[in-house]
Amino acid sequence: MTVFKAFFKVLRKYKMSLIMYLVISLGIIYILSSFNTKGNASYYRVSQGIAVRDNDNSEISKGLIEYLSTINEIKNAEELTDEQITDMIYYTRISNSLIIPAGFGEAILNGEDASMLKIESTKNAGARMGYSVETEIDSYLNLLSGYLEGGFDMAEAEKLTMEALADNSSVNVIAEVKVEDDKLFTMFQMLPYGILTMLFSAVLPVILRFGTMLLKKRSDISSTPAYKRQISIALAAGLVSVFIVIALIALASVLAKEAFTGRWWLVVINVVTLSITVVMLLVAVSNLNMKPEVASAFTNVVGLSFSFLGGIFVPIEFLGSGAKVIGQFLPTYWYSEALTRIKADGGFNDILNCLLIQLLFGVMVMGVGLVAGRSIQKRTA
Amino acid sequence: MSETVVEVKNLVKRYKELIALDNFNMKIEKGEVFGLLGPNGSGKTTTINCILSLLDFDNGEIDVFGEKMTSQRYDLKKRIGIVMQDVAVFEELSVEENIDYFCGLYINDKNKRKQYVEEAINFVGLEEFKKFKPKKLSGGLLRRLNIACGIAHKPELIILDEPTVAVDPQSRNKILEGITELNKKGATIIYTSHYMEEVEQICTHILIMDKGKNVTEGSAEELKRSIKNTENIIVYIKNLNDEHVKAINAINHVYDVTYMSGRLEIKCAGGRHNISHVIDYFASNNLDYDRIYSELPTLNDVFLEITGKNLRDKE
Repeated sequence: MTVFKAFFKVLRKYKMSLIMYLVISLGIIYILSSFNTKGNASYYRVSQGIAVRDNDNSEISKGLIEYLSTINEIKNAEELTDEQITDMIYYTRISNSLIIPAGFGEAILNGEDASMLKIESTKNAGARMGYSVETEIDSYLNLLSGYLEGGFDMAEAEKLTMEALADNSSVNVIAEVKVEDDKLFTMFQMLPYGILTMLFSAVLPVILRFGTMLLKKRSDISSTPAYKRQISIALAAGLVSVFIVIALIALASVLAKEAFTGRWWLVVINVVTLSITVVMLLVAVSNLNMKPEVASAFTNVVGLSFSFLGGIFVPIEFLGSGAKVIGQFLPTYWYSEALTRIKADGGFNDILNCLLIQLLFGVMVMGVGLVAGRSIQKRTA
Repeated sequence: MSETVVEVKNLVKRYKELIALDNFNMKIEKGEVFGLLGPNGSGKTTTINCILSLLDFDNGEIDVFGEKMTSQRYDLKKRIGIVMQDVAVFEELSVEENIDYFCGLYINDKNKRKQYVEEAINFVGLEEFKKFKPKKLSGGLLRRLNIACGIAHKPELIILDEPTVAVDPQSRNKILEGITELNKKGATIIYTSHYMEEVEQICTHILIMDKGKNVTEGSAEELKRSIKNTENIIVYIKNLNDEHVKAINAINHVYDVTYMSGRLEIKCAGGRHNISHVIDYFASNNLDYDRIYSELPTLNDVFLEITGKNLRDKE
């Protein structure tokens, strides 16, 4: 009981770290969730700047530009130099620079596949916005081609295309239910960062403190066996970890306005699995004879790298191929993957392998940590 | 009949090629303040670590309270208190919490522990600082806290491993007085140090060790009596030539003279009024000196005579 109580007394020193990372986690969750709740729909349109150079000047190209102008802010590329356009893309003042080639309209009228036509689109490869403009162009041209092939004349085809695309907004209203789902996923998407940073910034230094060479030596001399002290430390660390995880789950659930539904339970199982893995990682690291002071640097390295590479901050689909490969070796990646599967109406069986991979990571890291710890202990004895 | 508290028999401890303890023997009787004296690296801390089962040893036997000591003998450990060379306390806990923690590793009873902690705080004189965090304490106060953490559970055997290193004179005196008091209350003390004055001041039995071996042992007086040196005469004098040094060496009862940087040290074996003979020599040769005094041999002289080197050679 002495060691158990002392754990919490030592933990008091790290309460500011706990509060700081809790606030950071909540801040991130709040910012991301507020993106998701703009208006009534999850799929609202974002107006973007587009520089367009129309070398075709056909009815079709003009119609396309008109359609794009209903969603985006069109800038005339004729008035801009290439360097200016490049700078605008780089500084995200425009998302795309489009060049509609001469003969573009004629090709559509001749029934050529719209996707085969070359509208030259330059965009920032790392930005999501550029892709959505291309999707808008594809949607417009595909529909227009369809109407033209269906025997409508140009004016009618353009009108119907515009109407059909405008109707898309009604789909957004239907998707209102999905907003809450998205909010749930956004909340839980961010939790691993909170769990990782809070456990590593507060629990790890306390465990390390008890393992400091001189304090450990002094305790080893005492009449309390080492295994009893270790059990007390493990119980206290476990209790704090459970408290942190439950608090974060409760907070995320309250903010998402969802609890005790089928999806919620799956999401919670996923979080709990990741938490167990994080605790195993904690056990591994605490065996490495690290100084408690190093724990804060370690927290940042683990918290940020696991979050970025594991698809916590950036969705997995937007990670580069290299980052994806590395990410697959991290439990947070499989946490995100499980979340994606649950979002796509996946059940427990669909996420089971993701959960097992997370646990496997934990067991392996803990094993390596224990072996390394033993070797360090032998060297320092 | 005296009761043996610690008995070390033919202890051998090797660190690869280095022999830290070489068939080392030691016997400590109940109620003794046992001084383990030796230069840095002589094997004092290794001996203590072996007694406490913190270190495995290659050969030999260690009995504590008449029973074989192993790392699993928690019943024996309960009767031992250790004050380590380095201060080992939690920075995050206050003085009182630290003492309570370490006492709690031995004493489960909450009320009893509370009383013991209070007594330990009073004993080391930290009443005014009990709510302080260790970082706020001076070096001397920190040492006192270190001692309180080691003795709060009222052990029968207290091992103090160089507890006065880097301590101010006031705290040092307080610590030494405290050790004597603990001994008066019935605790057997093992005191390791390379400060011979301290050992001489408080220890009832002294063992001098070097290179992992027991060089000699006995009370301070016995040790001093066992050597040839009976008196050291120190003279601060400038410009003394080799002829004079040789002449002084020839004075009756003088057996060794060293002259370095204006300091002349004359070792005498037996005889009376040796200092008068030296003064007479200076007067007859018209030699002026700054200061002259005589002192009795110290434990360093014992060590020097037996090993040929000073106790603090390696400092």
